Amino acid sequence: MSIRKKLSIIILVLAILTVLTGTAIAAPISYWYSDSDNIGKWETSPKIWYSKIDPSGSFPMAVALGHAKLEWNDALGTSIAVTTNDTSAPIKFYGGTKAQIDALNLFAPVSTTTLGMTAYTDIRRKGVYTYGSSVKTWYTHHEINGYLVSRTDLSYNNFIKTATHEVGHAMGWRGHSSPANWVMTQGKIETITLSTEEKNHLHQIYVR
Amino acid sequence: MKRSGKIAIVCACAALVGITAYKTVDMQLAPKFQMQYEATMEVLTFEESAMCATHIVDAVYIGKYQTQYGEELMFRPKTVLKGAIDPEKEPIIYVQPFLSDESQEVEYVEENTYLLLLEKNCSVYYEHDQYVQIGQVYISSEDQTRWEQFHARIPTSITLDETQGETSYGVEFTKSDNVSEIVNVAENIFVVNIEGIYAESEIAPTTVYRCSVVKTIRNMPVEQGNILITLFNDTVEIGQEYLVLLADATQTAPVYTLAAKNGVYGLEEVENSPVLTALLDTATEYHTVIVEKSEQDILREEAAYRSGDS
Repeated sequence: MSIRKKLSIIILVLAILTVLTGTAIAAPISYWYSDSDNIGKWETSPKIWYSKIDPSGSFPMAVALGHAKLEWNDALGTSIAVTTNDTSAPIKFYGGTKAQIDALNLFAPVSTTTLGMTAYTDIRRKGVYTYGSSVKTWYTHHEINGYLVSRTDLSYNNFIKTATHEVGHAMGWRGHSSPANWVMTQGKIETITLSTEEKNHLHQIYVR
Repeated sequence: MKRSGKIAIVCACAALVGITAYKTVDMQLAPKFQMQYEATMEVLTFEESAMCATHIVDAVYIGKYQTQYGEELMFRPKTVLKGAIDPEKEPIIYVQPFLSDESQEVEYVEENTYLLLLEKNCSVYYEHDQYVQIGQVYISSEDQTRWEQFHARIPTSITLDETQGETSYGVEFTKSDNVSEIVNVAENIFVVNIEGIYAESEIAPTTVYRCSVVKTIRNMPVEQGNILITLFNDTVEIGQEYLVLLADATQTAPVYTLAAKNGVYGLEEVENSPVLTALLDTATEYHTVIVEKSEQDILREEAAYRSGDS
């Protein structure tokens, strides 16, 4: 066998192996600010349906979700809509006290230290990206349920931040960031505006 | 190039295309992945978490408890440092895994001992009491230095006072299936019409129904009779009326929960039970006013509160 033929076969075998391990199609990405190795996206802009179980005016769920919608539409170039009528919306958020959310029995018991939660009821693994030497898995989102907890110890901005944070998870921002005043960081935080880095983290996936 | 060489290259190319196509289709047709979560928590110190916990235990991990809806972690309590666990009644406690991203899942090792900060939750809908971990701490006795450090950090004031704080969360219910006993403990007894489904649970065999109250027997409903009731699947039909024996809803309304697993009765079942028939005879007609709040109404309420007009 000639050297040319041998080289051709070696290249083909390598190509097959790289496809099998999934790294051949792993495109590099430019930003990563999360402690998770996952990320997700919607292929079309989703609607968010919400049910405010705690009617208290001190629990500004509607205002908070409205703010979250504007922040993420601006960051991702999407056109997320918020509704109380369209129960077929693929993202659903319930808002109430721990006792109210637990009574629905739609989620595992709420801890007294929980501010909000997003459950990925239907997401599908689509592939991987590389960031430096690490591999990041990406998913498409199809159905998500979550809740925002109404608590008397939270400020107005705490609620706005939590809603923006949970909608971020619903839109695909997996895991948490670490700077103390970022929206996607855990905890009772007053910041309600996404940082440029947080926007870039998810936007890079939406433009692919 | 010889003919055999060309055939080899064509075959290799075909294999490459085939494998790529297979992987693409495989990915698209892949079944749903196990449910993943992102929980957003308060950031607490270990000491603050210990104060919040209803129970602090050293417990041996014995494995996963698999249900059709997910999995729980089984632990055998060794030493109860806060709260009370009766080893006769609860030789095993069922702990919810941390609600986190799958890439950050914590792996427990069977027969190893862990320090757990827990909140106990009880519900008529649970198969057993459920414990939720708080503080996102992972402390194994395998790491002796950390084990001793964290045990030393548990404030003695809380380990000495078992009555401090909540001992469990959840609405009271009875485990009895005796109708008279359920009637005795039920705080709310109504006849309701099942209007439709509000939400179906992904984690348990239950559904939340939108209901309108048709008759009241004990207590009055909130929200002018537009209430939500969580019921076990396949126990009611939409458009039908039922007598429901419900628990206290002071903390949960407009969501109502059953006073016992066996707390919902079709009207024909009521006729066969002297206790329920007598109860129904005392019923008062109730006219539910259907109120549907628009998003604008909700926004107006929130704005009014913000401006101090509430």
